[in-house]
Amino acid sequence: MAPLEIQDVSLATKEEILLAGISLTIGEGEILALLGPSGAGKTTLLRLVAGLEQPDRGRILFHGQDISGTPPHQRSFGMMFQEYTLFPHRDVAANIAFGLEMQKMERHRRDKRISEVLELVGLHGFDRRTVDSLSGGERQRVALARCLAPRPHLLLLDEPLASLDLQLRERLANEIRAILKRMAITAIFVTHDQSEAFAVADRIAILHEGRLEQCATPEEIYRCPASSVVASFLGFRNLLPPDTDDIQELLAVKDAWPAHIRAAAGNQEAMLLIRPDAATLTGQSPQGPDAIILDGVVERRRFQGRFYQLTIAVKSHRLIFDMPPEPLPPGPGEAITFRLDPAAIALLSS
Amino acid sequence: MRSSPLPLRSIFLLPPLLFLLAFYFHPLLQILLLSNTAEFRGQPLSPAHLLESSVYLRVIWFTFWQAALSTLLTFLLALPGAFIYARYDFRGKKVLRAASTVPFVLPTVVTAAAFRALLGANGLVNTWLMELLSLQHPPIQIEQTVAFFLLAHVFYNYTLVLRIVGEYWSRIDARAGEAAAMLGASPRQIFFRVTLPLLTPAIASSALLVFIFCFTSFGIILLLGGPGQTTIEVEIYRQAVHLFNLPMAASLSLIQILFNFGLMWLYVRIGRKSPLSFFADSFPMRTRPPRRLGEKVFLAANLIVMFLLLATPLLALITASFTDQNGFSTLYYLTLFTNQSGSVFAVPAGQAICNSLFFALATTVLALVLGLSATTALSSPRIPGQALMETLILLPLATSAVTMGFGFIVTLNRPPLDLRDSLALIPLAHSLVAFPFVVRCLLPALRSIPHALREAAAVLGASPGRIWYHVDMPLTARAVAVGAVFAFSVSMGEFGATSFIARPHTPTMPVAIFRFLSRPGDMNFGQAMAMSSILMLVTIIGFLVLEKLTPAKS
Amino acid sequence: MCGLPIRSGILVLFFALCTPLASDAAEILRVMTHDSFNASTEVIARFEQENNARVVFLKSGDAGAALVQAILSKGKPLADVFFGVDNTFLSRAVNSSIFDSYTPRRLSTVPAHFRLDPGNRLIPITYGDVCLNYDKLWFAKKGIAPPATLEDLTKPSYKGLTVIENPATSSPGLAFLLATIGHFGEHGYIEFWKKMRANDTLVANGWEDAYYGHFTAASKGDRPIVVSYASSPPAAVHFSSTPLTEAPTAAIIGNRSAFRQVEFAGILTGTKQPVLARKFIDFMLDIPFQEDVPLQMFVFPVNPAAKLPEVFRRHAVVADDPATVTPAAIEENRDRWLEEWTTVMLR
Repeated sequence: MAPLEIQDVSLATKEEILLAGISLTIGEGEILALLGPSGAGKTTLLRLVAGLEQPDRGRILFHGQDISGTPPHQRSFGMMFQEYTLFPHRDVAANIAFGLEMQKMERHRRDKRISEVLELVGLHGFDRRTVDSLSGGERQRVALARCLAPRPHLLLLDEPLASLDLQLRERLANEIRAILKRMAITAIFVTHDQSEAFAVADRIAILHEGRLEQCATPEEIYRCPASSVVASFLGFRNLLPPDTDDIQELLAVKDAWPAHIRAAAGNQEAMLLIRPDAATLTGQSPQGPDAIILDGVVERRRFQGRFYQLTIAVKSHRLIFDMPPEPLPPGPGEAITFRLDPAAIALLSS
Repeated sequence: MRSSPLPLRSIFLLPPLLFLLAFYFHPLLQILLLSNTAEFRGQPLSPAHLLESSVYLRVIWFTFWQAALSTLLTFLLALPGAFIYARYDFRGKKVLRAASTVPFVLPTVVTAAAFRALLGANGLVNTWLMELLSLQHPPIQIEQTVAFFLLAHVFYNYTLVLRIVGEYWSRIDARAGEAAAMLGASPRQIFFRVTLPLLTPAIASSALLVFIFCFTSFGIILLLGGPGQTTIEVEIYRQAVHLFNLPMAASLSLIQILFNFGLMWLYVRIGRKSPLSFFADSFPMRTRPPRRLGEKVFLAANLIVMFLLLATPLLALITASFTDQNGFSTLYYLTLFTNQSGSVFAVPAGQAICNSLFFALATTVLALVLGLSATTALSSPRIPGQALMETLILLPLATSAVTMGFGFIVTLNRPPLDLRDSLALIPLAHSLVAFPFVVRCLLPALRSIPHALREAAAVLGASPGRIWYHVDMPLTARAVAVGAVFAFSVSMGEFGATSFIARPHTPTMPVAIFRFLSRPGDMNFGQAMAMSSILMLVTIIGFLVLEKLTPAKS
Repeated sequence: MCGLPIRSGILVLFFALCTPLASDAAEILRVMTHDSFNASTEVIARFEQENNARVVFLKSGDAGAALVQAILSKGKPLADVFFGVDNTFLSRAVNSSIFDSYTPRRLSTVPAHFRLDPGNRLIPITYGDVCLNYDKLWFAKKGIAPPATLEDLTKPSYKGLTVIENPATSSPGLAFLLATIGHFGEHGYIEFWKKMRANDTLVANGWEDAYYGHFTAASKGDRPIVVSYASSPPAAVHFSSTPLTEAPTAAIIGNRSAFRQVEFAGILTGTKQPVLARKFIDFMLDIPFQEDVPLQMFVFPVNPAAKLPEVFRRHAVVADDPATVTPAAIEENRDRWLEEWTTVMLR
């Protein structure tokens, strides 16, 4: 039985719908990321699981038991808040001790556990530091240690890395995953940053305007976004409606287009996604008869380190691709001929 | 900033310091000195008697424990109220909040009349109970008992706790409690182990105010307490005014001031040891309607307590203002708006309302300017002598109104401050009480803003003035509003030394009420009740306007 | 929030416009008095017109507080004329030498027993008798005869019916204590009070509390006998919301049971307006002011030529034989009497 089942949960205020019929299942020891733009309902869903809010409709089951009537403090879940909400009137050790005190743990076991978790998050010897004296990263670790200490049955993390700088974020994302895996803890991780979700999660659930758009592994989501909403949220910008004349034309002349994509021509509902890694210069690879070759003019070329980002005008469309720095792609104003990898083209329902 | 020994903000201490010097320390010192000149010495009871006689020790002890007990009771009743104000949305919240401050402005004679109309031997409650249970004697007999004026103290000070703690509570990050809940803390544990410690600054601040108020309580004890119950303040009045024993009055004043000074000093010292800047920059607590049944019951229970404690005496008063011998009547109101007696001192109600509002607004502005100025300086972490300054600002609250009034008399009658028949005397005397209030409302709020936020604004190119305007002020807007409301109330209720100062006669609403109540005749009593009801109404409107002027934090 | 000071500033300006603006008169006469002082607008206007002056009243708290302030500002007086010293404080006021001696032209017409200051520093203006009042209706309903003497109060049939004011905090309270001292003598009065305590007498701290808080005729009180003034019955008629032919209360004044309070006025030493101040003292003994006194302050005029208003003629009584204690004796013994009384009644 899955540890956590969310069944058709809805919540609305007078003004707006916060969550519309969300159903999700999380496996034992799994890390699920809730990904979505701000206002998507991620935090609300997390708070429903925590018991801090009550759903209008739907149930939440924990190991098969409906926990709707259980107040948050009796659920034995851990939650890490976006601003960490460390207690300012307690020092580091006393913050971590709080959950243990609630369990009425004896003093010496408590002290042992505190040093254990401090060790785990790499803050050995920070016991007596005041909250005020900690840096952002240190606070984050204390907050993590605090919710890990009582050994929660489920860990809820609300944007735990949002207020950190980029470098720290990358490092801590990996560390959090490592810690959670080491403790084999089931966790839900809320973020609006897709790379963070990719780095931490086993599975990702994408929320948009209170709806669940897709729930799948990071690879599946990257390869096959379920909708244009998901695609645009993942940063894919080459989204073309297949019913315009130009696309019709592109699709018609090229026999190489996969059949299911050609069939979509004229479909009002569908969207054509061309991933940024789909294009290679024609000189690079052998050209079979089934190769999709397009001609265009480079509008902009930006060096991004590991690749160049090219903005290419093809007929009336503007497509953006990442291309390797070697050989040097044509510069602005120059003509370009490139080949598209059919595997990097997907058809999305709108 | 580091290079200069004194931060720029310390300049702002100057106006409040000058104000205190001219209108507090100078008058106080003069009257204390004068009391011990040959003119007034040689009284039958010398101050030395003070230490010999157990009577005075008993007075001091009584003053202390009744103040402590009043404070405790006020908190027991008002803390849950502050909670519901910080946490829940419900209908009529704004009006109720304004109404809850009304007791604060009622003259003590009116409060006494209201309580007696409700709980007196022949009051409403007793009459009903006697009819209901067919009793021969009134079941509630609390007149002249300690319980009666303790109740009145709670009635007066409830709003202080409700407002100061409630406002502070609403700015505590609600997720601190949620975080505790997620760590397994029950609501009770959250309250005692997280919320209460976080609320400490606001609780200490308001507790100090309530305690000082009850410690220096005068009218309420005199009117509702029995004649055997005497506080230091009542004894000062008795010694100075009825026995002309000024040296004794001065000694008692000194004891009162020193005691409170010690208390405040202790408070300020402790308060400064735990600088809690837990300011929730993005998520102040959001209010919401109560959802669970338990929440609804809790809210309802609190509203009932508020209603019973605050509203019923007021309603009894309003009822009296509309009732003459023949039942319902608007006679008292109609006659209020004409000068029936043709007296120089009787003015139509409209004029009294205008006078009251004028003094109240002048007081509010003066107290706000002084208060903002002082707190701007005191909230900066690098001002020397901060603790002392904070304590000094509070002192006027703890000083006998009789002593202060007489101090004004002996100092403000000669140039450069010849205010003998100046109208300024009244807002000045009111501000002396209102100013510490504003400071107490503002300081905890300003101190909870992390200094880093100001530094951030400075780095973004904001001048100190703009930082104050764009960071400090918007973030403490609610606290400023609360301070303004209290300054307004202090003046509307004619707090402080004004009743002991020779002042040009400008009939305000409380003065008119006193005038009616000092003469026999049911017309006088009815008009006093009607004027009190108008005072309440004007006050509520004043509060609502003041709060309107202060946009809620967006 | 940011606009608050500015916006309230505008409001203040607005309200400043509706407060009275001082008119420019040539001379200003300041009269310091207690909060209970009252006079008719026309009467004061008459003085102002006749003397081309403006009279400013400085109200200074209760009678005791006002006198203390006058004494404290000795030499640098806050005002020119002081009104409101009564005979219980007379010696104290005279001894503090804050008043100039002046003999107004009409003083000779005032009965001698009012002229308690032979040096004429304090001039008698009004008088009133502090005495017991009772609720006529209450006694009629119960079929009990109302008390007639002080001694009656200690009888079992009047147990628990009386409310008095604490003499330590109330001026009528002190006056009534003095009535008992005048009546029973220095040695007998304390016995009377012991019996009063045994007879369940209620002590209130002030007149408002006693009259409006406990007296059955004026409020929902439970005490039909109260210490008040002999002029309270006419006041109750005058200030009735419905026309009354008979006063609801009556005063007990016979058998030396009342104490007579005389109120005095004087010219404060150091005044800048000595001429005008004298004129005002004269004016206060003149018929217009004297006839204004009853309905404004509910006391009697000392000038026998002043006519009493209808309501006083019909409902007011004056004690023929009030109990008396000399101002000098009061000044000398007040603290001790209060201490003795407090010990018997409150401790």
